[in-house]
Amino acid sequence: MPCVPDFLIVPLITAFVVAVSLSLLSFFVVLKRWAFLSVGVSHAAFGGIALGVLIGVSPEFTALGFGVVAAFLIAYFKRKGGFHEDITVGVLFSFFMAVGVVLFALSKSYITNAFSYLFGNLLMVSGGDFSFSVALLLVDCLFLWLKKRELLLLMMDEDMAYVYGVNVDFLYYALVFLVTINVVVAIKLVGVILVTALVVVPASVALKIAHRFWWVIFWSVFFGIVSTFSGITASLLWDLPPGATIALFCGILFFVSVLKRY
Amino acid sequence: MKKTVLVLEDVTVAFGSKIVLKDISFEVREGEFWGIIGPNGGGKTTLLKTILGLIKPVKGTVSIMGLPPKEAVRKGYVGYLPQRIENYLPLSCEDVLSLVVSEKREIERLLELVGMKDKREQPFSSLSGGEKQRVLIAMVLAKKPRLLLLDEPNTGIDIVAQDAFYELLRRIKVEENVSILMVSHDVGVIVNFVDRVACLNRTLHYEGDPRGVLDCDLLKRLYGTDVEVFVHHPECKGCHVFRTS
Repeated sequence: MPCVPDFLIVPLITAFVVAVSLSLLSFFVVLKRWAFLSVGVSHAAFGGIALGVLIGVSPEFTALGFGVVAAFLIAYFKRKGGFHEDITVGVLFSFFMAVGVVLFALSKSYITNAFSYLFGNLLMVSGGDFSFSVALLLVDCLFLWLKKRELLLLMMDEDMAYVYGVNVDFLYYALVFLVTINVVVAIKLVGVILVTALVVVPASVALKIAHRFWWVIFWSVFFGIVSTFSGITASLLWDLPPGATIALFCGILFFVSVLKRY
Repeated sequence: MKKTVLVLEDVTVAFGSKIVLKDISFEVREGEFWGIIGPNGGGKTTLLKTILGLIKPVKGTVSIMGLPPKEAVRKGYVGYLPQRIENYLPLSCEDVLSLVVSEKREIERLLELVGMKDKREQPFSSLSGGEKQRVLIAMVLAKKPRLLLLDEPNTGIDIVAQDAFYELLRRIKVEENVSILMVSHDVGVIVNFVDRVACLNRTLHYEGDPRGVLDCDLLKRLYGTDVEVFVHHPECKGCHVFRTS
């Protein structure tokens, strides 16, 4: 990695913490086919960010609010079968994105702020973000450690999990909530448009090479860190947006794993 | 007289204004193996979910061992095997069982019971469809249920593995003293293995001896058209095609 200026040390460490968090949850996102849910959440968060900027409230809080509302609506309709998931995500994603664009336009700060949130900007990451990311990582680890059995039964089949005494509704929505917070936190780093790569790719690749749960988690975290390290290095070397370079390396990793199969 | 394990009395299930099951009544006794057949959309899976307590009937009652479904499930009286489970779980056969059993010896006993002890360390995802079903049956039996609910467990499994699976269920029924209620599409196969059959298409068209299913009027009424049923016998002694036309 090239020589790192002091003011980038905290953002860089935060980037790795966020990458580990997303990689830990990636397994569940992949197995529950929630890739599109993470797209919906991140785009809905953009609307919240714009509202925060407009009314002068911390955009993190409004982004989280919008993200949680969108995630619960998508998850609820997916489970209850009211609409197909792609319809719910399609509607919410474009609606909240449109809200974001309109609000950013009203706030007269569209170009600078919107671009940073859409594609990520290491310079936006603060010491507070670092502390929150570390706390979130601890919560993720604890949740995974304590609820491993129930989560695996939930991944197998929800009705079967219910028969084995799992509180399916609680666990399902707790997982949705956790994924949502992690996605929203990662937006500053990789941006609204590219965050899905870090949620989906690590476990997709890990599942191709490992057949035991903890090994999948290990490789998932490993690939998350490798993509983030490679992406940030490339970003610093060639002065490119880090969100884009991280997502690029995630994509390359995925394509290599697919090609290796053939 | 054998004990009654499951009782359905005038069960009617509706989603909004659409009635999915109407006035379903039957009783399953201890150690009986039931097959539930019927066309797609006939309410077979809905019936299983109602018995599990996941769907509340608008009319009628379900009781398992004299208890409401949710309480019976909570007490471990019911085992359930869904139509499909996630295929990419990174678990070995042993891992799958360890989700519901903590004792190593019990895991080994269950794997032996279903003939999968030799493959205990093999990844679950690498097993054939028939082998996966055996591991899942072992998992379901771990709670020592009194009633097993199986939702089309043989989907995508070849006929030889199906025969072996049905034989396994018959053996388990005796050895574990469990009643089995299995939803299936394979009319011609199921009649050779089960003790009783229920024919379901929103209402119960028939309930009784499996040999009574091969009746032209009943099958036409059940499926709404003429059908051909390949009646398969184990070892193919006397396999034939039964036509309603």
